[in-house]
Amino acid sequence: MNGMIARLGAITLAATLSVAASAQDNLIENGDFEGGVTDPWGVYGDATLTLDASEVFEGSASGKVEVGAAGANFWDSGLQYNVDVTFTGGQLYTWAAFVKSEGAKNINWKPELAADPWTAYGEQMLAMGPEWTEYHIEFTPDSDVDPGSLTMHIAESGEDFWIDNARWYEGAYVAPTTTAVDAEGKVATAWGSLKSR
Amino acid sequence: MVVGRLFRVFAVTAALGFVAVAAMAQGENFITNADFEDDLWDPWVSYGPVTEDISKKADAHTGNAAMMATIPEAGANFWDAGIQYKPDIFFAKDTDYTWAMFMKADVDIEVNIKPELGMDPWTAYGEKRAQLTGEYQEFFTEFNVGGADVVPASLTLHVQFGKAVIWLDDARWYEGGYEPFDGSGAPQAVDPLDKAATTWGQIKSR
Repeated sequence: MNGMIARLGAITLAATLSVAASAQDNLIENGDFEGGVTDPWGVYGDATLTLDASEVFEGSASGKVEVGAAGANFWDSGLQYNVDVTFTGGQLYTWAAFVKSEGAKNINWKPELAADPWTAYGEQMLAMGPEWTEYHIEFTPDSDVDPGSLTMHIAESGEDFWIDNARWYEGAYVAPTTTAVDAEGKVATAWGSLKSR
Repeated sequence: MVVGRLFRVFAVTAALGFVAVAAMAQGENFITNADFEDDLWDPWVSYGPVTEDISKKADAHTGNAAMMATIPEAGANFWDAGIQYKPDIFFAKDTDYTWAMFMKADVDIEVNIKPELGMDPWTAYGEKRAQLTGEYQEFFTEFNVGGADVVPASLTLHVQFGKAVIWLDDARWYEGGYEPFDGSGAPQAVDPLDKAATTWGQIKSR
């Protein structure tokens, strides 16, 4: 009887982790660059985007952005996630990603209309550094935005940088949660099994 | 007696030297109408939806007036409205500059500080963001344009981050690194015969 309760508790715990992970449905595909390609991310201006297996926050790859040189203006080159992106008016969004730069680097995070006049929604200039750190912004467009783009303006300096585990979801910022696990065969379940003996 | 006279000469020389060094450290302020005490914006200008005004004394950082700019709403981009100081100015090559000013706002809001080429492509030099609050703070940027003069140039503030009233006072643009505001906006020469070093010299010579 005790064993059954313990097992039930373990499964419930695992289910809770699963719920926590899915509380923010990540609207970004290939945010962790584990898909073997950089798509649908893209760059413009004097920059290149490649997969890098030597500098990762998690998993086996990150996106490495090499910036040729500082631009006349910080928006002269950029990294964008803009395939099938739309923003709903009045909806609070969070855009977060782990970033590491060669040296100190300012990056302009700009959710925007992906057409002239490139209207900004909650843009911020954030200071990146040489340690993997999760940065985020929250934004609420005042009207529907179609097409939209999650744009990083990166030409403030020529420093290269890496990006991993990018997230864009509805709601306020929530720190990354523990990855959900299959309850069967994991520690919690094993402990439940032991207790039931 | 001779010792006292020598000491007085030394004290005066030291005081003059101190004044000269202090003046060199802070540098000449190239901005005219830096404190808005003439109740005018000129030669400052604005573009975009900015209402130009001069504040009352209560909203001045020092003196009796400050620049007051009302921005009605956020722009599509923050650079859609701006305040500029660009009366035929240029940035000399290989020269360290500081641009500093006191600003506050009626709401917490950003301002983009951008020394720039005064024409397309509006090349930025030492561009920085300032986070304004209800209390005056001094913001500054240090910049060096490198190996070629920048002509025309502009000291530009991008201000259309949102609806706000912004006040600006005691602006400085000078050669050299940042030095804290000394209360006047420009170095002040002093009469060494009235100053501490001279007095100390007189005491020592007695």
